[in-house]
Amino acid sequence: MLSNIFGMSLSGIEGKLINVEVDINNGLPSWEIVGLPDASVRESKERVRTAIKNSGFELQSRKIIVNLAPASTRKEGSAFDLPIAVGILNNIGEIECPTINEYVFIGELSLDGKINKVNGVLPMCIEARNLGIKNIVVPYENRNEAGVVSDVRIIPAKTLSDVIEHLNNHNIIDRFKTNIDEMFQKDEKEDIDFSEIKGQEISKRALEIVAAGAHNCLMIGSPGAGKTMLAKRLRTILPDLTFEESLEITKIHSVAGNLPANKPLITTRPFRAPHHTTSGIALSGGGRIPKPGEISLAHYGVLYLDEIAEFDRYALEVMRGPIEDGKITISRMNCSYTYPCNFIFIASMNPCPCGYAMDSKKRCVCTDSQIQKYMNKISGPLLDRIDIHIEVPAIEYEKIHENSQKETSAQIRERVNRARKIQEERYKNYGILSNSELTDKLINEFCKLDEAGNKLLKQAFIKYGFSVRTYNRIIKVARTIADLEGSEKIKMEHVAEAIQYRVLDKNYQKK
Amino acid sequence: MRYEMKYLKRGDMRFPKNLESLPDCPDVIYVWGNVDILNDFSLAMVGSRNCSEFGKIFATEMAQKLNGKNIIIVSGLALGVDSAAHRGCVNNNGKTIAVLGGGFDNVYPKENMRLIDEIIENGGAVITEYMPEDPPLRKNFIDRNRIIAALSEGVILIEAKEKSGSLTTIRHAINLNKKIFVVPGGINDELYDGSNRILSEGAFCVRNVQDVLAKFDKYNQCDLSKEENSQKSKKMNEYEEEISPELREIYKKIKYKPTSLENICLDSKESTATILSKLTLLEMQGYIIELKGKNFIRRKL
Repeated sequence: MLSNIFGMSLSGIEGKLINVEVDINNGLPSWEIVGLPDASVRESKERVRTAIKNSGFELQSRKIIVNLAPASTRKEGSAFDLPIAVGILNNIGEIECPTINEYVFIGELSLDGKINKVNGVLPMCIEARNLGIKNIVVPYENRNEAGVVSDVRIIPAKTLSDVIEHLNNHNIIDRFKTNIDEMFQKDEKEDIDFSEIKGQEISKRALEIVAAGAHNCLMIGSPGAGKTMLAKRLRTILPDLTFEESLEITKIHSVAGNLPANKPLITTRPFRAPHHTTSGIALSGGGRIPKPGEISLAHYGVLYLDEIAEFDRYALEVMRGPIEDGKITISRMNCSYTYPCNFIFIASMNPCPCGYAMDSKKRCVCTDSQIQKYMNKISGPLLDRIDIHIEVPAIEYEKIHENSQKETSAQIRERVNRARKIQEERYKNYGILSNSELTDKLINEFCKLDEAGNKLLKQAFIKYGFSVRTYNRIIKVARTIADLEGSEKIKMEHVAEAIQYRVLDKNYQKK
Repeated sequence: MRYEMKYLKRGDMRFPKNLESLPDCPDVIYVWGNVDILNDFSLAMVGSRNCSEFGKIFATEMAQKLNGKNIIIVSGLALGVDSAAHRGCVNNNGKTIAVLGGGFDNVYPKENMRLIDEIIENGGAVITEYMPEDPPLRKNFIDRNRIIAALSEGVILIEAKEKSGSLTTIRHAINLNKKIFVVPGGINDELYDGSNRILSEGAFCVRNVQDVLAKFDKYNQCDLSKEENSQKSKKMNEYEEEISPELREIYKKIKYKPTSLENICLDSKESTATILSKLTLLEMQGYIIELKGKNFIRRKL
């Protein structure tokens, strides 16, 4: 006899419907799982057999064949335990449920019949809902994240016997729903705020522009100047997340398996700061069974690379494409996954090996060639993708005790939100969200300079020997500055300010 | 070879006559670029390789100004002050002479190859007494300093520590009876220990271009210096008057020593954004210079 049950697997960050077919026949007792299962799926035999026994059902010695269709894609993970167990019990007549084909089962079994949590439940549920499935049985521990999905009945189950009783209409499990509005309203008190930063006026202003236009930024500063402190606070002024964005971020983190149990939906923008020993694969994502890397985990948030000159060169080169494309495709022997990675890239470094090249009090002990060598550690193509570079000087002693009233993150965020709205409106037909994504063609269309601005830029071009790329970057940043001010035209003063954010071209250029 | 190499034997019309006063005058010099400028009026500019940001800027500006008076600047193409001096001339599209401490096959430092291109493009010359295959040895650099000293009518020392190689140039220049100019430094600044010692031995003190030009009759009387004099007589507040009123406020906060952006922003009524854009304008108009670390200084000279 044959029974047909639906389970789910993952492909990248999208769920995928899998047909779990179970056939039980007379013959020599055996148990076979076919359909390209990997080790963790093949091992489910033993878990399922024991879990069924310990849930009080009897499994006679028969010939069991389980097929996971489509049979051509590789299956991995332990989420098939539950559908296989349900399939077997359905087959031997323990379940009487005519609507069983309106169910999807997700879950790993432990030997005593308990259902354990699995990774990637959110994308699985979204996909199942989109395919028109009505009921989804999920592990109890995953209920919060699954409950985010609307228009589908989420059934959180603790044990295999609970599931059977529910299907047999004995003990109906209540539908579970997460209160999304509450999640967004819960306005978590951030323990960091921009108002805590003393001095650093230019850095703060630059980060405001970074947030408003989603520009990439490089901070050059002496040790202890506060680069990391600034970068961490950037998250607090980024524009508010929409529900769709939040869902996409959660999907990635769900697949990566690092969703906190009490937070079914990620409602704040991620801030990722991998250490400089991080490998290229860990940044880009990958592995034998591909997993999203740091750049994807920073999707819609901030990726901060501290001491970028210390990073492995290969690791950094990996990011060149993704920074531009906003997604990364990882190809392995039998699969190819695409992960989104639309992040703001923030990097920091010292101005020279000793760290004090820009300190007016401590004298730098590096030679010009040492500084040049240090600067050359970061490849030109990567630097070309950075719109804003600023210097973060160490603050002076008098500033440490300064007590003047500073702007809070919330106040800055309000301006950022306004600037983003303007950009959204302007680019709604062009498939981009922010000024940083402007292509050369769109720059011509949307970034018109006034007479004086043009003249100034031409002057600067000659004086500092800017390249054409630099020219475009300055215009993009000037566009954001104008947007922050709510000005439709890019004026001369906007261009003048934007020129200040190109210190690498001005003070560190190769001679 | 990158450029066509010419050589001048001692006795050639174009061979720099100044070199003949050297007891160990080379018998032949090799030249890239313009061979006709070696007998023109020139001044040497020397200083430490590992100089301060201020030293570099001063050297560039000084070279540019002197070059504007058709004075050729001679230097050694080393990093730091030397490069800055050549850069100043090149910025002015003027002529400059670089004296190498090795053969043309071994240009040192390599990263200055681009600077050589620009020197030659602008009608300058690169010369050496060494055969093309001679390596750039430490000893050679000390020896070529005598050529720098001999070639020019005077030597300007920008910045030298107590034990700086550029002091050998000064020694040679003293022996050859050339005029010595020294930019003074603070007595607590080790970068100027050597400079200040030379100064105390009786060198001319340099605060601006005029200090140099005044010591040469040819340039002291020429009408060009009138404008310099008038500039000098201008009081500071008059200078400020040139600047448009909306920029003046910011300009006043910037001093002749590095002023940090933080200090400029301090007690300013204007937003950081406005201050930043005004600083760009001031720099573009040539009133201030930005140093590393968002420090600004007034431009002088």
